[in-house]
Amino acid sequence: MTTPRWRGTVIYLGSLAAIGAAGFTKFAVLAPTSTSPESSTDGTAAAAGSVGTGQSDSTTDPATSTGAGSTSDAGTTTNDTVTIVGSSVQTRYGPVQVSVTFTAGQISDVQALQVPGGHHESVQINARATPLLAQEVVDAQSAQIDTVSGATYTSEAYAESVQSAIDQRG
Amino acid sequence: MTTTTWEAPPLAPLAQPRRTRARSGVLPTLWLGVLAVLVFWWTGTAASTGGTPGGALMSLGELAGLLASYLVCAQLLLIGRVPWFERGIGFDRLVAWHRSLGTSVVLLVLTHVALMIVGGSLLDGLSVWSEVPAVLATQPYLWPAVIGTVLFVAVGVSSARLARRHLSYEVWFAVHLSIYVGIFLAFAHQVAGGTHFVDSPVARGLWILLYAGTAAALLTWRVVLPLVSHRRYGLRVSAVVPEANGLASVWVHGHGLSRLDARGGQFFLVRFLTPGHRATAHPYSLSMAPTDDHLRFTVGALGDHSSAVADLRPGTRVQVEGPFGTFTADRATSDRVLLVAGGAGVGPVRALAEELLAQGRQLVVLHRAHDAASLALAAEFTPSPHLTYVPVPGRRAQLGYDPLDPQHLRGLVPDIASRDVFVCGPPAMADAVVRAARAVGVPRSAIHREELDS
Repeated sequence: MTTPRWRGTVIYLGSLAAIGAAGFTKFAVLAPTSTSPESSTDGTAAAAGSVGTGQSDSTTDPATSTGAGSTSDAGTTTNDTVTIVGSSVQTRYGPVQVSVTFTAGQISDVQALQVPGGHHESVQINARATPLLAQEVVDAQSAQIDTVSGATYTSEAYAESVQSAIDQRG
Repeated sequence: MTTTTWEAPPLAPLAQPRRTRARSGVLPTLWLGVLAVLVFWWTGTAASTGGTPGGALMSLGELAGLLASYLVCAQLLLIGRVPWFERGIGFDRLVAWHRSLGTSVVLLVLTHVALMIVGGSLLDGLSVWSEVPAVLATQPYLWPAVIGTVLFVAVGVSSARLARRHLSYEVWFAVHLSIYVGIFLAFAHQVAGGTHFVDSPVARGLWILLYAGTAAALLTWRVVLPLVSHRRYGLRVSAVVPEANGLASVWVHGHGLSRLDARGGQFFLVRFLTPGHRATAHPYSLSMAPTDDHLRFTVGALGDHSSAVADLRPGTRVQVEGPFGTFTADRATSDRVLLVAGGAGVGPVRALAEELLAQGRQLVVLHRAHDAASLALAAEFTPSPHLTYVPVPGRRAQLGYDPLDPQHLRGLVPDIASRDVFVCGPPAMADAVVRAARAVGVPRSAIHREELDS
């Protein structure tokens, strides 16, 4: 039996069509409805209080509005505490976004709002990496931190998001 | 050992005519696997990944890579001599699907590479040219994957029709074997770097299982079982008998060969373990129903190695894989059968005739050859009330007509429309017979063909 000519190429073109259709459905058709729940489930796990409101469009920089919101929030507290949301940084594994809390001019806390990955198991990796990264930032009082092995991309994007928060604080 | 003459046995009770085999679930299963990969990608991809063009392109690149990786396993299983596949689809069609998917896989791998580079460069804000070294420096196991990709492309190119015409079997085979290295090298970057695997031990486990299962199947049916049967049957060449112009019969002796469960019309992949033959396995058809201690292959002077069997010494060890093929007596639906043999096709036709006669069917054998001296095994078709042997020697140019065109075919076999037609020979001849048989009213389901091409 001879192999039908071009059958392999036809299968390839069919695969390309399937890939394109899957991508179109996922990213163009479903994206507007599923972006916010997706990122909020990813991000709100550790996010505190009013900070979550800055998430409506995670790809643009929401820091100003949220920063303002947080500042008013901070006004009710006794200390000079302000929480600023850093920019959302795309990595090949997904977006990374943090909020940085400043207490009396010092970085007192960092919370991960968005972390990469669509699997539930990503929680495990981030459960390991994000506290380490947060501690590094608090220790260094800057975004000059070492990467956590096994989470290189997350670490780099984490630092970038922290830096953007620091820059906004001025 | 001399050639056996063989007489038509007394009319046996007619075997229950069997319909053609039930459709197998092999190919639907394969396509279901593709669907499973799509679902796997879908559930593991956040819609926000497509928020940037780079992220979307990379995600689609990953899907292309996942599909290619899955199809590689499918391809290996197709040629893995898995009994379920062989029974359901048949060796020839499996090889054809393996070839087709090969084209798809190589193109998908290249698509994957292109999308990952372009998408990554958009995401990282780098030019395409600086993206490549950047990714190679950071992504785990990407260098081995690059080498693997080169091997994939080499195998694809060497298997293209144009290249195969200029490459010897040995070179092609050596390049093809290197794909196992390529697959191995490309595997680690998938589970260590793929976004769908880094985060998910479950997905990683399943993917490793897919590859381990494929490897186990290959080891079982392409390595271990052939070695076991090689020891068990102890096959050796017992005689090489010239039959006619350019045709010789190779008799192979062994023990307990009935356990092979081989049937007339089937073929084995045969490898003679002697210098000059060791590297190549050839598809040789049985030319008589196998006995418990003998197989006989009647081999044509087609291809460079087939023609060298005349030099084989008795005692040469023989390794066989098989039996393969669905050109068998149980395909017949009528109690009257026409067998058309051309060139070396007379071997399988001779073996098939033996079984069809044993089933009590009434046969006409048309034996086509360039000249009377090329009518191999003619003496074995002993005429009887159940068997009419019609030699049709002569080139078309000398005859001035094609004895296998519809008009002449009907002249030779007036009741052809009510017969099953089995044809075995060179592709052009098989095509001509199928066309002629259709033209004189043989239903498609009653036409059974086997081509000899190497």
